[in-house]
Order: sequence, then structure tokens, then C-alpha cells
Amino acid sequence: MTIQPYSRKGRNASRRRLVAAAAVMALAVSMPALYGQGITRTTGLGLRGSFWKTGDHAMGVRVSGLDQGTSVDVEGAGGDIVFFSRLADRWFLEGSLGVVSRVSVRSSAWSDDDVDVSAVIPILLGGRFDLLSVGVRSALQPYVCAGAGTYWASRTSVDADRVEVAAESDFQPGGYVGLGSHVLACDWFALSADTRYHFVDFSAGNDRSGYQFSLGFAFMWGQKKELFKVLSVRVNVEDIYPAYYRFYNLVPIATVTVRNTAGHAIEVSLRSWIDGVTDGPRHSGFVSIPRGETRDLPVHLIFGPTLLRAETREPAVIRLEIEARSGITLTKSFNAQVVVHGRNAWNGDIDKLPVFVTPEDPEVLAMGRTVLKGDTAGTGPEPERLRQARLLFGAAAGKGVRYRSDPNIPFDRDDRVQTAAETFLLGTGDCDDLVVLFASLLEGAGIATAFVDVRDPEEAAGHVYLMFDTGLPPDRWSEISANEKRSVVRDGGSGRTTLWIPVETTLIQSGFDSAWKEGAAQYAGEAVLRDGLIEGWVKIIDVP
Amino acid sequence: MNRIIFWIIAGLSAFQCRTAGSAVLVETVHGDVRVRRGLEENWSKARPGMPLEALDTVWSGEASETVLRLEDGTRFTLGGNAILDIGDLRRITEKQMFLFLMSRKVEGLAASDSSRPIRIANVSVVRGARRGDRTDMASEGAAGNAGWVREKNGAQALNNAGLTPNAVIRLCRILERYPGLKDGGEIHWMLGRAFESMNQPGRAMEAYRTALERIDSAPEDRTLNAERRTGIEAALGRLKNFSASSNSE
Repeated sequence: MTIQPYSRKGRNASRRRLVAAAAVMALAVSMPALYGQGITRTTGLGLRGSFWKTGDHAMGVRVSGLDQGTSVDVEGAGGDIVFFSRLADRWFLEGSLGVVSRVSVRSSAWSDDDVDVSAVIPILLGGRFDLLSVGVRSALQPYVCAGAGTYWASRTSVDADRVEVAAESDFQPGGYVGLGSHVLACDWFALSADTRYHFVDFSAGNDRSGYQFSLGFAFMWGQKKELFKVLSVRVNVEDIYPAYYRFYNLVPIATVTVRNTAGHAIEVSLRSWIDGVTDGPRHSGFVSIPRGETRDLPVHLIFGPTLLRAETREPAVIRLEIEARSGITLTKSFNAQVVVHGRNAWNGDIDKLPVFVTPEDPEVLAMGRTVLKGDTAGTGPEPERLRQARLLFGAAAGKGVRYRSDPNIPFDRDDRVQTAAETFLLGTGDCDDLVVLFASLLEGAGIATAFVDVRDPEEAAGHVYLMFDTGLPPDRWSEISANEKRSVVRDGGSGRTTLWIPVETTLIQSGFDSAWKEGAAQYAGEAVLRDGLIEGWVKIIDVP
Repeated sequence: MNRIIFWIIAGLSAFQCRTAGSAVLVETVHGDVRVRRGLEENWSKARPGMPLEALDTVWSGEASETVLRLEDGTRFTLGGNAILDIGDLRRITEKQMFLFLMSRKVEGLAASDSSRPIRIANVSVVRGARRGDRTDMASEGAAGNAGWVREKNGAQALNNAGLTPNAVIRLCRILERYPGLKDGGEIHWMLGRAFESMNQPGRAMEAYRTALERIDSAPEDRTLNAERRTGIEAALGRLKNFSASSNSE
């Protein structure tokens, strides 16, 4: 048996190990698909085999063959068990219990074996800091660590010849610094490589101080690290009225407040929908939230024809999916409850009533065009738009449309508004249905209209009637009527002040002149004489 | 005793009901004075003792006059060539008048903004007007201007009766109804004097300045214009001195 110079073999082996470690690291970095999302769990337990090169002994296994006997030395081999737990973000608390031993057995032909066992059991507590944030897509997660504890050193010698066993042990304080890396296979399992230098008795000169090289694996568990927290989900529009769907497409139905807890910038997107109500989910697109900051994410929904099919008032659930990405892709789901009203429901806001006006409805358009086809423009003393309004009003009355109050629907306090086509179909309507009907016909003929909303403080019920634009300048009032109170001077938003004619549409069966006279009387009495316009209980809303 | 109290209350109630229905009575009529009921289009001859409602209108011809007895017992004289809405005789406070003036400004703003919450501005112009449609505005001011003189006289009567806020509102309504009015600044001159009498120097100066700008709009009456200009300039000088002395104090 030949004896190889130990030191040369050791250097070669170290070089090979370094090359192998570099290869593993390169592989890990180049394969983020392994699990490129950082350590997301809170707790872990690792098992590692290690070699410890203490100051007075080289690491390694030596077997020497001699003529008179053999000698086996196993030096610096051991292992440890490591427990770690996340303190905050990338900081972990780690505790380890290890053992490193040196076993020397010598035997010879003329004597029994001598056994010499030295062991160091480090009991350590420290901290670990992951160098890459969870936002970096890499399976390789390097770290640095440091800690302190006690090193229990013991030595046992057995001299078979003398039948003598000697044991001694002592505790020494110490500490360590190190670096290493996890290679994540999934969110609960990782391989680990670790190098640290132990300062036994806090001294590099201690004969037990030295490097420890470890390889092993770790299992992890516990709650996944969150990238963000949802602080609140606020519903801005609790009652969804189908008729206002175009309005809802512009304003956020709800607001989700999200705080970035990742410790780095993240991107967040929101998907929102209501099953059976919206036309598919709405994606907000990704919004960047800087580290530690809070953002309000507006919740929009895609409303369209599906919503307009709602017949009755029903509760509904807004589904919210918040997705954050930054290395980790994390999705959280939330719900918020709203009430979806029937398509004819109106909450009483007069500025929303125009949404029921449907001049583009084929039936309304066809009727208006048919009626006005026979009108010979430019003949007769009556202004054109007044004449057209009279014809359309008469045609609607001729279809048998009458005033009738809304039905009483149990547990439903909504006002109910019909579109023009529905009123033609049903044959009746209340004040809001009839103004919508007449406004649809007039707007279909290109005549601007406005609603006059009256909430008389001396009356329990509100009322709405209509006025339309004659297009005539104010000083031509005498062409409309000999009584200037029959017309109203106003600017309907076109930038032109013109003469408008009020019409009480509930008097549809009494004829246009009666409806006009009554409308003008109401306007003169309530809006002007009783200062309804100034006091705000009479409002005029132009139909856009 | 109870019976006496009952009859007193019943009598008072009956009296109140009667007077509430006829707040204004025609007391005397001289010349051609006519009355129009509510939203009717026809005029009837006014007669003494005729009750008038708030929506009724009184019209007087040249060299005519009528005296009306108001709800509070005071008398109101409407001179010749005037028109007056009975509703204008209700007591209007200065505060109500200023609210009216402000509402005009707010309405002007609101028309282009808050009343259109759902409008989406994706169309810059809507085409489809017929040739000749624009003539409505082109002919603005060409007709109906004769009526403003009577209305102005009605406003003057209100002012003479001490109903200055009512007169201001009426004058503003005239300006609203006759936007192309060529009055030689007369309406604004009247407005200036009304505001001055209400101790509103800022508004008065504004009205006087507009009146000066409008004087040139009626060049045909040079003598009248010269007199008016003199009067307005004197008023402006008076108001400037007033504001200067107020500032120095």
C-alpha cells in the first residue's frame, strides 16, 4: 500500500468541489423554471451533511496500510439540522444543532485497536438574510448568515492494551459567519449549499475554529409570503340600475385598496365581473405599486345587453380577482354584494331619466318618420317644430296611450320607467313614462327636449313634465302664441337662447293645446311665480 | 258665547277665502285698459272691481291709466302704453332678487356642464341641418321688438311704486326676451338707477357702463341719446366719488 501525499489530493478534491458547486449554481440560475419565486414559506427545516476543517486537522478520510497494522482516520465529518423561521420580509431566524467528529482507529499486529473519538457539537442561534428579494425570478436564493452559541467539544480515547478509556469535554462559546444558497425545487423543498466559518471561543486562533462546508436539503411550510394586502373593498354603487349602464361603464362601481407588503415594487391587476349580469370580466391592466405604498384600484364592470335583460330586482355578487406579480404571481379573490334592479327601475334622479329616452328605437323612429312624412314643411303660420310636436303628440294619443299610475310592486320602492316602445305596447304610463315617450318621439325628429322636474315642498308626490325647443329666438314669441307666458326663454346648452314650449304630457288624451296650456301654466306658476327654479325644487334637465 | 266665537271665526275664514282668490282688484280704469286671463290669448276690457289673479296680465293703451288695489290695501298705478303681469306685484325682497340674478348666471353655466353627466364627447359636430334653418337666428331682433316698450313702461311703473326689486327682475326678463334689443341703453340705464337706489354701486356702475356702450346702438335719436349719456356720466361720476370717499374712510 502506498501513501499519497494527503495535501495534494485534498487540494485537487477542493478544486473539483468548487467546479461542481459553480456548475450547480449556474444551472440553478439558468433554470428559473425550477421554482423562480423565492422562498415564500415562513418556516423550514433543513438537514445537511458537512465537513468541518478545524484549525489543527484537515478534512478527509485517511486509510494507511502498514506492515505492522492499519490506521483509519475520519476527520471533520458530520451533519447538522437547521430550523429557520421568517422574521420579516427577507430576514430569517435560524437555529442549528450539529455534530462534527474525528474518529481515529489504529490497529497493529501485536496490539489491540486504539480508538480516539473527538466531537464538536455546535448549538447555535442566528439570523439569515436572503440576498435576492422574492421579486427576483430565480431558483437560486443566496443568503448570508451569522450567529452565536455554544460549542460542546468532547474527546474519548480507548486504549485497548491498557484497557483504559479516557473522556473529557468542555463548552466553549463562539459564533459564525457564512454564506450559502438555496436552490428551490418548489415552494416547499430546496437543496442547500452552505459555507461558514466558526469562531470557537470567538477566536480564529482556536484549534477548533475553521470552515464548515455543508450540502443538504430543506423542507418548508407555513403561510406563503404575501405580496400585498387588501385593506378594504368599498362599494361605491350599491344599487345598479340597468338603464344607467353606460354611466356605470365610466364610473367605478367599487374601490379596492391594496397595500404593497412585498418589500419591493409589485404590479397588480384586477378582474371584476358579476355572473350573469356583466358581459365578461373586466381587466384593469397592471398597475405598479411602489414598495410599502397603498393604492386605490377602481373596480369597473362591463355592462351591456346582458344587464338590460334584468327583469326584477335581485341581489348580485361582484367577483373580484386581484393578481399581483413580481417573481411570485399571487391571486386573491374577494366578493362584494350589490343589488341589480330591473331594467325599468329608476332611482328618481331626474338627471338619469334621459337614459330611458330612445329616439333610435326602430319602432319610435318609424312612427315619427311616418307621421312627419305627411307634414308639409313651411306651410301655415305655425312654426315648424311646434307643428311637428303637435303632430307627434296627436299620433301618440291616436295609438290609445293614456295616463295610468305605476303598479305597486311589493318590497320594491323603485320608480318604474318604461321606454317609448314599452309604453306603446302597454298603452299606458305615468308622468315619467309619458315624458320619456314624447321626448323619444321629439328627439327622433331632431327636436331638443328637456324634463321639468317638480318637487313641490307643499306636495307629497313629485312630478315631471316636458318642454321642447322651438328653435325660435326669444323675441319671436308672438309667432308661437299671443301670450308670451306660453313659451319659456332658455338656453338648452346649445349656446343659443331660444323659446321652449312646456307640455303636460299626462294630458295626452286631452289634446296638444290643453297639454301645452297646462304645462305653461305649471311653469309660470311653480317655476316663476313661486320661485321654484330659484329655490331649487323645480329643475330643468336637458335630454342629451 | 261659543256661538259668537264660531261665527267670528267662520266670518274671518270666509273673508280670507274671498281675498285669497282675488289678491288684486281693478279699482279705476281710464281709457283703453285690457285684461288677459292666465294662459289665454285673448284680451277683455278691464272693469272696476274686476279681481285679478297672479297669472293675469293688464295692458294699457296710449293715454290710458288704471289703478289696482293690492292685497295689502296699497294702490298701484299703471300708466299708458304699458303691460304688467299681476304676478310682478308680489313683494320681492332684495335677497330674492339677487337669487334670481344669480340663478340666471348659474343656469348659463349648468347648461354646458352639470346637466349633462352622461354625455360622451366623441362627436365634434352633428351634420344634417337643412338650408335655411339658420334664418331663425339670423332674423333675431327683426320682429316682436315693439312689445318691449310696453314691458319697460310696466317695469317703470313697478319702480315708481317702490317695487324696485320687481322692476329689476322685469327689466332682466326684457333683456332675456329681446337679446338683440336696440334700446339705446335705456333698459340698462333704468337698471343702473334701480341698483343705485338699492345702494348697489358695483352693479349700478356695471349697468351704467353697459348703457353707455348701447347708446350708440340707436343712433337715430341723437337728442335723447345725448341727454341719456349726460345723465349716465353724471351717475358714474357720482358713484366713483362715492366709492372713493368710502375707500378713504
